[in-house]
Amino acid sequence: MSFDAIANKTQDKSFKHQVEILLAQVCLKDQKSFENLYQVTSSKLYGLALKMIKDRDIAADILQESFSKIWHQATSYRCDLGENWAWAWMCQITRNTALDYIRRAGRRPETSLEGVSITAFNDETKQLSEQRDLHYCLAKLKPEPRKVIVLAYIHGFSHSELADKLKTPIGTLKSWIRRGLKELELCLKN
Amino acid sequence: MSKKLTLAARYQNPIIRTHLASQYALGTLTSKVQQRVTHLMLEDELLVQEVYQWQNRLEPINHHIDDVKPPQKVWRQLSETLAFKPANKTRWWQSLVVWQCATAFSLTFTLSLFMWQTDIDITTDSPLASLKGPSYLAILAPNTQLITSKSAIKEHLPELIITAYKSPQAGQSELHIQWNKNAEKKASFELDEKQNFTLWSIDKSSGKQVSLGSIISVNNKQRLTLTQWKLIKNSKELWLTRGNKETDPVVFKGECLQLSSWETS
Repeated sequence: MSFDAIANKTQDKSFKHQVEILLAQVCLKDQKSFENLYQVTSSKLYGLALKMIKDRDIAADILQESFSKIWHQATSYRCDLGENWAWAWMCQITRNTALDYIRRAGRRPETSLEGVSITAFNDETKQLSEQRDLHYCLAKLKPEPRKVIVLAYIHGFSHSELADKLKTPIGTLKSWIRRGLKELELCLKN
Repeated sequence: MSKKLTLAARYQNPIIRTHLASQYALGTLTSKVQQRVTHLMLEDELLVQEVYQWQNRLEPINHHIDDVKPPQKVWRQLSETLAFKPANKTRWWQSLVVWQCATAFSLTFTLSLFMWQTDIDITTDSPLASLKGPSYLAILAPNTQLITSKSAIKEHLPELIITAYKSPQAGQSELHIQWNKNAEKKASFELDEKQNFTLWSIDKSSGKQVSLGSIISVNNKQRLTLTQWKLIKNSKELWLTRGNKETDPVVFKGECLQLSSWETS
């Protein structure tokens, strides 16, 4: 592993641990800890929301709603299931909130796969292959499953949206995703 | 009814469970199925574990996403919606450290005065041992290592006061847990066994972290076993973590003070 990769991994672990501690204090309804948690994580979560919803005002509403859920649901976070998993839990809440909006309101027709995804995906692939763990395992997948998994996760595309944009039968697409996730699971477990 | 049972049994299939959990974390379930999974997670512990596993597996995909500073109105509207109180200016006499020291000193002084006046020798043979006051005291302050602003620290959680009382009868020693009522803000914080908080003893000789067990709730008493009593006796610090593993985040920590001497343990 390169020096940069080690430094990034250490920084990532430190960040996740920080989030874990702050969320534990938010469980006690400590407003200051919640404010600190917001300061530490809001830029990342807003960036995440913007990848799924291009409208900045709507993404801001999504962010606000997500943090409201985090405040009210902090006690339901299961810290016993894994170490420093609070950040992943917060990301899931934000993504679910954005997905709920997309499913309710419908995605804007001008969200083109070309403009939104292909160039970014190429950059992502290059970055991803420099790191281990998930990125290493994603790099090992065939291009089609890797592409649809990353597109679905980052941009929140549904099966039918991806099938439509990639001009692929929906059955094939679902098969790519199912097989890709299975291979990821096996790779990560090893 | 039988159809409902059949559907529920279907979700016990590990392949189905993994499929639902992975697609839930990926975000490709339809709204209806996503809601169903959210509901199932309230009943199916294995499904919860799978979902958490997949959330954590896929999260690194976010690493390449750039941070974008959100509009200031988001925090403003959020704190209004959640009805947060604005921070108050504090004076020196409202400083945390001043009151910590004052509380510890006055408690120690009062106990000393009481013992001198009543001329009671604290031994385990005395029938009044349980009324003599705490043998150990720890003031656990919230973990503020990650907070750089002094004003932010002042507005943080109140201290958790833990006192241990020795009883002459075996298994009757007690641990009392309460919020510092001397703190400016009202202690309306919740801490109970459902939140999975664990108290730890840090051994004064080895520095080893040993569990004293779960904290049931605050403003409560818990019985101490002889083992737990010995751990407290040998501790230099007490820590409170959210979770029951040594590596879980430390939410409160503080030095353990001995207030009375012992001939035997």
